[in-house]
Amino acid sequence: MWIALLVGLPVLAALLGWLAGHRPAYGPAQTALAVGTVAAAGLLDWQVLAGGPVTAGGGLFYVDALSLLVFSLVALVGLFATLYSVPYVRREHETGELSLRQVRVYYLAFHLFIATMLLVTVVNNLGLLWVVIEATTLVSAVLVGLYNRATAIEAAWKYIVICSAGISFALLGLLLLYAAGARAGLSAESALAWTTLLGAAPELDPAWVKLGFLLVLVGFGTKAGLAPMHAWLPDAHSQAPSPVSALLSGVLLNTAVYGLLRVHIIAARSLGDGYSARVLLVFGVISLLVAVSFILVQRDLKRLLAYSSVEHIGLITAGVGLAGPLGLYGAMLHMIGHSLAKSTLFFLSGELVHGFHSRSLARIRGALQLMPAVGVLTVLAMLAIAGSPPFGLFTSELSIVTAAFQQGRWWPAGLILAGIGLAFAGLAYHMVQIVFGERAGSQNGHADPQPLSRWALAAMALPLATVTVLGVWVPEAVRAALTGAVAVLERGLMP
Amino acid sequence: MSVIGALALVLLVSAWLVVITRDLTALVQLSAVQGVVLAVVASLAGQAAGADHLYAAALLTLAVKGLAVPVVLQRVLRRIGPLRLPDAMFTTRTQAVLAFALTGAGYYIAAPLAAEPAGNHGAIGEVLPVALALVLIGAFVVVSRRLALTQAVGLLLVENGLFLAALAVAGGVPLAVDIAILAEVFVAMLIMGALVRRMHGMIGSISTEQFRRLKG
Repeated sequence: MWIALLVGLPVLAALLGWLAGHRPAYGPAQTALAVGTVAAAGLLDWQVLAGGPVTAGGGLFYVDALSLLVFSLVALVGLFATLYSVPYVRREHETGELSLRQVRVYYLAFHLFIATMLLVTVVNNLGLLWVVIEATTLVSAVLVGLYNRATAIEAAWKYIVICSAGISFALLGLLLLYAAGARAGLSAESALAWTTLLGAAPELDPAWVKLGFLLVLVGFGTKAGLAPMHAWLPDAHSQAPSPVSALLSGVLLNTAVYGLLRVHIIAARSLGDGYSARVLLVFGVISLLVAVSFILVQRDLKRLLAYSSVEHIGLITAGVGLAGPLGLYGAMLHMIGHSLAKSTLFFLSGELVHGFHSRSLARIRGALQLMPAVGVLTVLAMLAIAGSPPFGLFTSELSIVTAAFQQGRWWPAGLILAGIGLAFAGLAYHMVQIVFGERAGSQNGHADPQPLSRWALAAMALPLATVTVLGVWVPEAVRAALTGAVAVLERGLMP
Repeated sequence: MSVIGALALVLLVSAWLVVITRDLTALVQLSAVQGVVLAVVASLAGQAAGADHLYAAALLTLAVKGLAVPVVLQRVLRRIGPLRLPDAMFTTRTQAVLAFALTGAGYYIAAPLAAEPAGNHGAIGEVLPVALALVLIGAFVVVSRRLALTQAVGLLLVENGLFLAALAVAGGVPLAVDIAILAEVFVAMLIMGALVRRMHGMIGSISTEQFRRLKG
């Protein structure tokens, strides 16, 4: 029942957005629906944590701790992005960047986007999982290509083509799993159900499972932004409207990782030799290092943030690849921290880009002087994403690195540590320039600072505060969710 | 060779034609032909395996891939008018060679998997290699062509290969999944068609060669 509410409320918000997105009353209305979505997520969380995985729709839906971790983040970041959309879209409309019709398209696609991401996490059937993941690509492509700019169309086209082509490989991989299930005696209807495949995992033909896993890795890995399939990501995340970028980087990547993890769990159980974990570790570390090199030489603010997402998804994947309680816990905690901090940063980027009329890092300087509130928040958020204490990402990064050292895997440990260190240096450098840097005299006439609207402030302060708190104290409910997710990753089942 | 095997070869030949043709209208027509052939293959497979849901799948494939999607693409073509733009990145001869190579790769990869038939009446040996070849050739079209519309047709080719692969290794997927996939293909083509039209309206070209603005 909560599942229906969880997915249904955003759909309702989408329909209302198409009909009345331009009306002032829509702002509070969509916020109320977004809060409702968070509430539905909370109720579903409580149901799963208290009573174990929830099945519904005759096995069509399956919600366990891993699902709840991902969809809770989607609902939360969805709320924050909704809050930030209100002043952002209003401003874009007033400055003529978005027409009335585009505003309505924005809200229709925006909330549908959230609904599809939520749906990804609750379906049991792997075929439908694939369909819904592709649906997230299609809906978000509309948003990426919303602006009437050649660069936006370019980004949207590359996004749709690369991600669709990429995940078609994932479908091939899923087909192989399905066929393996059918050969192991599973019925046609149930051979695509994750729960069934998990149960039958030891009986599946290892050759098919291995190839299937690799194909799914290429496919969902493309959507998750793992290198070397990440080429579309900086374009799409930087060209989209900033609230959408927050969703893309903050939670869409998580849903792709989620799909990958579901198959990894089956593969791990079927192959039994840690093969899939090793492969994940390799791709994770490569993504981390590739991302870091682009972070160091970056010149565009939003592309910087996009590459940072590749870095963090690489870390999460590496954490899962390292496995063991520390690695898995670190990876899951990192997912939370990254989603929150990255959303804040993209909202801030919206203000910075508007204030300085530019996305170029050469021109966005001295923000503290021009937009004090934004400047302060930028310092905090950039430190958070760079993995500095006392923010939550420090704890999770420490956990992952410790896991590597503890297992005596010196190369991954060293590379991860080096990657994190370089990323910190790069981000810190950029942060100092953005907030405190000297502005060339000729730029004074161009900047156009505006006071921060209350909606925007809330959208930024809430996630930032949460990620700060998480660095010092993990509430019992969150800890239960994390350990539950870790258990699912280790064994497929909740404790 | 069975009828299904022969039809699979027809699909293979149409994929080769997609690679070497330069006429965009012909590309759209080829994708329509593929949709029809796939529908026939699906219904024959359904008949052979006694799986009724494959008839429904065949009908839907005919409607979507055989009719609806080509119509959408044709309308886009009509809107953007006649084109005299370079499309392929390689010469026709190189493309043909690569297409054959990828076909060979399809047969090579399929060989160990096709070694053990599993209740689909031996069609797997004839159909799976073609299916994989379609996927590889489709991906090749996507990366080696400049015109956006051609890339879209390449994606369709990949999708067709997957449908065929599903028929070969697992007797198709559950109908609900099939319906969802076909609906999605249609929506994807609508969205991509809209992007192509906007591209043309904005920069007067649908060549992705123009896509050089985003770097680094």
